[in-house]
Amino acid sequence: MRLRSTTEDGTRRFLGIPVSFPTRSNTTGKILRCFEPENPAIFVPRTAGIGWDLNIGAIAVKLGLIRPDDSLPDLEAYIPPTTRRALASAPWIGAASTCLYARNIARARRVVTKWHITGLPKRYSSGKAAAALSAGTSIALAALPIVISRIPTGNTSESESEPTSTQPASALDTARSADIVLTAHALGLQSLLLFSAEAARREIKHPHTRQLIASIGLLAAPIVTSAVLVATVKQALNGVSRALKSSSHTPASQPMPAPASASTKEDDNERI
Amino acid sequence: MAESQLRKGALELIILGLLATRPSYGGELLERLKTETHLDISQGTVYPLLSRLHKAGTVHTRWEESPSGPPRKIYELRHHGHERLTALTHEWLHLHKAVTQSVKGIQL
Repeated sequence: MRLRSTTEDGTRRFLGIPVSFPTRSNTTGKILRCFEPENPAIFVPRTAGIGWDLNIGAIAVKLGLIRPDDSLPDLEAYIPPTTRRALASAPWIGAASTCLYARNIARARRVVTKWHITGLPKRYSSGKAAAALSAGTSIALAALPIVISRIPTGNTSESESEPTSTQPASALDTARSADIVLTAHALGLQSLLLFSAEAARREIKHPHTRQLIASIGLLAAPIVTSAVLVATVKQALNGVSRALKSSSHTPASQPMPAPASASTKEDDNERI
Repeated sequence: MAESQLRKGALELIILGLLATRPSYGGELLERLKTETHLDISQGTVYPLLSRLHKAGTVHTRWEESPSGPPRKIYELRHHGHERLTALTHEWLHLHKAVTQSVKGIQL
């Protein structure tokens, strides 16, 4: 049976279940679906694979944290340099922290690598294997935004390409926004790894005991990801406010000052 | 269901018409839909449409300070938006004529 292609976003469906194949031309758009405040759908097709992901943007709108038109690509240019630097370095700090924790469990003969949702141990592995898996995953997560950003964008003639070429936000803003979404997800998953490693370390001291911190880790991942994205949007809105205030002090004939990133935009005159 | 689909189909024309008379931010546009057109359209319908129009280059956005809260994103028609509005208006008038002609004998 052939997979049917939808007209809206190019995601194919099999028996109603979305199936996404990231290609060089559509990866950025699919990553951004995970934070799309203007889209009211809570569940969106996965960036890669079968099934759905959470649209954190829609959840944040429903919680009243942001507005539906606070889309990241339109705000990206106004993210303050300090926030930008923090976002670039945080996943590497997370990776270093995970490596330090991994060192603690590497010497143990038996370490929990999978937990029940109730916090009870489910699966064990050798300390070295558990440490290598935890540290390796965390480093890979930190490197992911860099790897994705280096994938060259192909032409958009493929049948499942998305209509992103006419977006008023520049391609650079859109790509950087996708990097931010990836970074937020990396930080969320790293927090899960850290909580799991801490739970494993405690279980080594008190074998076969319930470790609630492992259950907390499951909740920590989406909370950290959402917090990073919402905080970035808020910082960018502050950047817009600052730019508007400084432009109100300049003569009316002069344009609004360049945003923090001063990125090259093809459509600058169409924006602020 | 059918009524809803009919309204959704006409919503792009209505929004382009409202933005042609005055650029507005999302919340203001929802309010104008209620007061000026007497249509109760949810934000879950309006914002995806605004996003689609933005991505298609029909409208562009600029930021404006708000007396309360964060800056507002103002939606404004671009040249292509005015062209699209003219084309949709012609289509709508043609459709209106056809529908009026076909239902004129129906007793309500």
